[in-house]
Amino acid sequence: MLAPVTHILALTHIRRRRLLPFPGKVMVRLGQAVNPMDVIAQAPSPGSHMIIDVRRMLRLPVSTKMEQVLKVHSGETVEKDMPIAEFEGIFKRIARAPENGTVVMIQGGRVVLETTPEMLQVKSGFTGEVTEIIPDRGAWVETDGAQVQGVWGNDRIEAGLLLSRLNSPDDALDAKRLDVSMRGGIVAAGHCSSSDVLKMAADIPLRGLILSSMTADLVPLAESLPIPILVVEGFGNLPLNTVAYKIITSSDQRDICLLANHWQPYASNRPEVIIPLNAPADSPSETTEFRAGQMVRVTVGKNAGRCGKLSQVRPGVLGFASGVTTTAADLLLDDGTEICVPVSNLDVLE
Amino acid sequence: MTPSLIDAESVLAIDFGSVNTRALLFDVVEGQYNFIAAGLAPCTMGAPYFDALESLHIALDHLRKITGRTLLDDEEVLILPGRDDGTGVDRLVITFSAGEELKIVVTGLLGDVSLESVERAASSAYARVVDSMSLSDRRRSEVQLDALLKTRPDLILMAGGTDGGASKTIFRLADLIALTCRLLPREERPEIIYAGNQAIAAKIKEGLSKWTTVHVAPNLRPTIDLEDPSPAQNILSQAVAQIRSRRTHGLEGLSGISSAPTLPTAAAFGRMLRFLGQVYDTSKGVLGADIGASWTTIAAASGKTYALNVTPIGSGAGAAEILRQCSLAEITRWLPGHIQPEEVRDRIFQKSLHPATLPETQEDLWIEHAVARQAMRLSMAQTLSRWPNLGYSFEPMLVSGAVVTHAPTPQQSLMMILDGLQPIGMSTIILDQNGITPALGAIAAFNSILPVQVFESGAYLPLATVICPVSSAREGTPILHARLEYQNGEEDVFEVVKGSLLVLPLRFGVTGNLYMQPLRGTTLDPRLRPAGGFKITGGMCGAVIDARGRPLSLPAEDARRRELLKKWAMALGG
Repeated sequence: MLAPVTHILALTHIRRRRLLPFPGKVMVRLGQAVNPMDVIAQAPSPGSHMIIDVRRMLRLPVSTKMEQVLKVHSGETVEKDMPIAEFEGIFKRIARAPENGTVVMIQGGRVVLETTPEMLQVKSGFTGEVTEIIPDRGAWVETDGAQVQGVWGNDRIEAGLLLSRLNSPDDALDAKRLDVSMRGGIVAAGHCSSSDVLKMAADIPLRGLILSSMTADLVPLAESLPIPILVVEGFGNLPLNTVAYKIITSSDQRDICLLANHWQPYASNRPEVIIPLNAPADSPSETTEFRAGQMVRVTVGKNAGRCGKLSQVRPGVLGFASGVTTTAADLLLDDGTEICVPVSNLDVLE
Repeated sequence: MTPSLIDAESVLAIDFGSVNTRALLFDVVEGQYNFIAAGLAPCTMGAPYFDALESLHIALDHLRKITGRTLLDDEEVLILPGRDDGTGVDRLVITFSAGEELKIVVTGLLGDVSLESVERAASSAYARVVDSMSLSDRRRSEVQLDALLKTRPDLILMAGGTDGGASKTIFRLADLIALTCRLLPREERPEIIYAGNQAIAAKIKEGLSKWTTVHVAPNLRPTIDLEDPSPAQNILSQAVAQIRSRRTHGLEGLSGISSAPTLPTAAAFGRMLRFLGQVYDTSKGVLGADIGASWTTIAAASGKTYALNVTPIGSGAGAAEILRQCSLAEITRWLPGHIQPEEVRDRIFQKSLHPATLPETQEDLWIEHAVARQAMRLSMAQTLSRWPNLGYSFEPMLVSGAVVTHAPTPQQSLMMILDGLQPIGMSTIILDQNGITPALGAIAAFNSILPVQVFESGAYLPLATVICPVSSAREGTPILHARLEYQNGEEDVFEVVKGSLLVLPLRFGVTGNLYMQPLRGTTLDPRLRPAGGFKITGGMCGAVIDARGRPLSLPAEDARRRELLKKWAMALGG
């Protein structure tokens, strides 16, 4: 039975592909060491534009060809008020560039000016080495280290010093635990249910926030803040799973990479914390099936966030208090408690 | 019609859902097409597999274990057509709902004419309308241009102008789209579906196809009074399927060996509902509701009206989206017990992160069922706002989606449907427990007998006959006298009061004649004759008179409301 996998590993080999969605320029070379904010590849992306209807502005006679009046060509950079077309009639008429920009197209009687060009950049996201170049698109970047995958992020990335403020897996973050001495650090804390805490984190400013869980009403605020926020377990008052707790608390004061991606099921962009280490390791398996002895975590329900060893997947089906009948699994939790949950409510931590 | 031994063909239908992949087998048994079995597998279109074939193989293996029928050869390739030794299948069809939602921009002329029509057409796809442009759009051209460049739509659906009518604005919009395409990298250019003034269709296609793929569909609005979205919807379905196939490993190859074009599940579902609308009493129309994990689909066919509305809300990944479209209170009002509202919100968001999970506790179930109700409410409201002529009275009503069809008791299924869809009049509610409706819609493209025979074969579960009178009387006031005559000649008499739910003692499969006398201006069914008896058949929940009123009004006070919800549940026997 296929099992969803979440990588929470003290040491593993991490390999990620960084790609532009369309051809551009690769900015790195094979074997290059990269930092999280290094640009792997970039490509011009259409920005803001102005459309100058030259024909109408100059009141050109129908017979007048645009080539006769234009003073610029496609690709040319123009400055504000620079003439872009002139027509010598009874009176001289001039069409001027309304802003600084680049002529990106001349079509019919119109000049299209790009005023605010944009550059789409794909960044490494973590400290590593470029191991393969994909021409015109990007590269594979690899590293070894600890990895903690989460379930939610506000689509920002950063790198910095990890400051663990976790006293226990079910810790809660309040404003008293944050202060300006943490400025520039990535704080790992427990559960957050206060908008004031998130705002304070952004005001200090921290370089990022790793939470065990967060109340769902904070999602809009978290999405608006400039600092990356990553949630490991999910929504509600959920304790940090003990595996992640050990990794994070033992990595205090280390340089880490925080990729608080907004998780999309059809993209390989799971939010994650990467802690580069100087020790070679193997890549984890991305797929697995449920089997006895695995470390598993309950993802929803009254035991959400708790993890333990899978004792067995029971044969047949079992009826639960909800009235639902389904395949069930027995777990031995860290505290010695045994519980039985639907198999569908588990993921494997490996 | 009995398929001859020569014509009869076995069909395998694969549906790639966002949570599960289903492999459905249909074949002839004792001279009639039947639904044989379903194999199930978790969806592998997303991370970490990114391969539709992975789940297909698991689903086929599951099907093999159930049926004993070998479907793959030694090289794990589907055996197509079937062999004399009984292995393989003769035909394959593919439907899908999994995959990222597409972004669509719609363009029209007049907001309340062509733009409305094109928005209705766009609502039939697994897509989100991210912008709309029309004559009344006051934005300057460059602002519109930048909006298109920023949103990067996958598709632009163009409408506007009756045939031979307005063209200037359409050309201006086409010009803008061409400019957009020229400024975008080739991989990012949207495909175009043009469904406007046919007099200029060739010119539009010629102008735009230099930059991107252009599909031309018959005019959505050939005259000001006539709307015909079906051809454009069909082309939209095909375009969506092609885009999805290109972006999903394995899907394109399967499409190549399929007997019909790959269809979005919603389109196939709608097609089957449309067929049923032609078969059943066209004065009432049929309704189908599919409450999936990521999408809720409402399809209705009534006379010449055909509605297909797909909303990005559901019981799994689409659960959090519901909270963007309604307040938390509109969900918590359905809970029969107290749970802190903040906790309800948290659990809904958590479920959207883990859509394949199942409710473990009673509270988990309450929340899931409340979400399902609200998904149906929102989808019906949106459907009726787009197709106001549809009404609330249908026969039959077909419901699918595991959250409803696999509720722990049939009474819970019925309660969700009555609360969510709130039908009026007399209806038979049937459940599609195996999710076969889209498959039948896809199969109809090459085999028109199979869907009919399977539909009538018992593959659907009759849940209940429901009678939902409408009355403005006060709560507790008698609004209906009913007399149920059984086949053995005995009869029972009932007085129905406003606000009540009454289960008529009619067992599953048993028929009776129901005579009803409405009181105090009560309307039984807006489309039925006022007098006379009705032959009704008991479903899993028998027959039910739902006199709670429409729209359902729940007490604002929490304790009273919960008591009422429990009372209704007990009345149904759930």
